[in-house]
Amino acid sequence: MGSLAWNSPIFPAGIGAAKGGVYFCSDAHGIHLHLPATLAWEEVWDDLVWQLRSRRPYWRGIAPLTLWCQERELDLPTLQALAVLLAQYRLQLWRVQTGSRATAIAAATLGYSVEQFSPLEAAPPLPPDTAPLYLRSTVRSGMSVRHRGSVFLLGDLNPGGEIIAGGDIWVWGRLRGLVHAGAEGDRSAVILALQLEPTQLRIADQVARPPEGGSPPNTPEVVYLQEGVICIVSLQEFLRRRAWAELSS
Amino acid sequence: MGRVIVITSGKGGVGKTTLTANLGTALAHLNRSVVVVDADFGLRNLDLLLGLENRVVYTALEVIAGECRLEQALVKDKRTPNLVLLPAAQTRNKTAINPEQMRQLMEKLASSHDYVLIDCPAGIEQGFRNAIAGATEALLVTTPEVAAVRDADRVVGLLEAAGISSIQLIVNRLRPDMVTAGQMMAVEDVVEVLAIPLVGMIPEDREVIVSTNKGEPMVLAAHPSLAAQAIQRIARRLEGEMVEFPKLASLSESFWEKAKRFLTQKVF
Repeated sequence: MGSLAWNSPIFPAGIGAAKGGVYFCSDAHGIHLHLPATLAWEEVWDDLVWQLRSRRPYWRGIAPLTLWCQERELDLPTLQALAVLLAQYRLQLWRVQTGSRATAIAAATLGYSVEQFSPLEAAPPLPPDTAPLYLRSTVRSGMSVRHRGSVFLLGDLNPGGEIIAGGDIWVWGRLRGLVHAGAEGDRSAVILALQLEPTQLRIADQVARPPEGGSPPNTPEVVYLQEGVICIVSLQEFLRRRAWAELSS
Repeated sequence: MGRVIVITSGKGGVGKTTLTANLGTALAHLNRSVVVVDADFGLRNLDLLLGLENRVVYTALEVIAGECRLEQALVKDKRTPNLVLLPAAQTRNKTAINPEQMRQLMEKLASSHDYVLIDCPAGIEQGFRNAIAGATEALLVTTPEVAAVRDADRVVGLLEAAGISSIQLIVNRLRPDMVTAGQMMAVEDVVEVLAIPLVGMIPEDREVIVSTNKGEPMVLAAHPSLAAQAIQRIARRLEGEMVEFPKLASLSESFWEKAKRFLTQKVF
């Protein structure tokens, strides 16, 4: 990556393996799945499978799903494979929103409700999804989790992997990769990890490397921003300081 | 139906091809019918390691193009009756074949063999996609080095996304003396990062170079070296046998063991 503009008003959509990745959100109409128009299909698929796997523990029941695939052309077998994959995770494809005629025809042939918009029409803006994202998985090298809200990961974040969140980041496991909390400028965002051995830490516009040498203490730690400086303290210490701050304010 | 296992690593030079050749041979000696598939189109090596280079007539490409039957392309190994090789084409590149063709080919092979071992090319591009297309299991090879483990971690993610859920780890080229001295990652460290089950650890062994140059799998030696023994144990574990992992120290030969093996070896 590296090409992210941190102060851009529009945060790269949802979470994904690359810029503008696969993105889930939900509202009263069920779950919406947005597929990026430009990414290679293999990457979209890999990303989708990973997200489905790691979010599975948090899906409940069978939910109707709307697929937003922009101008991407999906042929009949691809769309079918997608529906089968979603069904394995108890998500039922029922509506397809597309700007591509070929995709619309394929979807109609398979009996899904289709809404086609012309490529000239602006695709509807993504709803800002700031609800926390819960994941149960290992975030491995090369994976990138991006979300506008807070991210809760039950598992390890391995070196070479990254989590970028608009809110807080909690890693219930070993944090060894790169994390960026408050990526849209929230300086009150915190990072929490059961074992903190990061490659790099970022909060809002500040960057810190872990101190060199020495093994990290075997205790949960919290990273936060105080007067523009990134601080790392044990969870206990963090809570004590918070309590003090509240008392004295 | 046989098991289709891809041997992969991400990083190059960690020992995929050597392992494929030797593991295939070891499994064949456990009376299993084995086909080893070279999926490294354009950079084929597996035939060399097995010493079968000059017996290759057809390759996987001709099979796919319908220019020969599958049986015609399979090269038999005289030393190991149960082992055959499906060679890759050396003159073409990785785009000469697509994942669907590979899947069909592997299915056909699995219907007539107990094991199909696929030697995957390094990298995560098209060649990798082809190699894993027909596989249902994976053996992930890594050396105890930071870069190799990092790449292996990436590959685990890709394998999982491709729906291959049985992924087992082999740590190769381990140097027990360096691990003890704290100069090399221990196997436990590797397992902890990758979070997949361990199926084998193979010590660094000079014998490997000798045997690859000769084109004779080292598990065939009358007195197999420590690395060869480790591969034989992996073969038995794949067969479902519970084989204990030896202590780290026993993976390096003492002077007397070395001398003994040297004296009993055939001089060539």
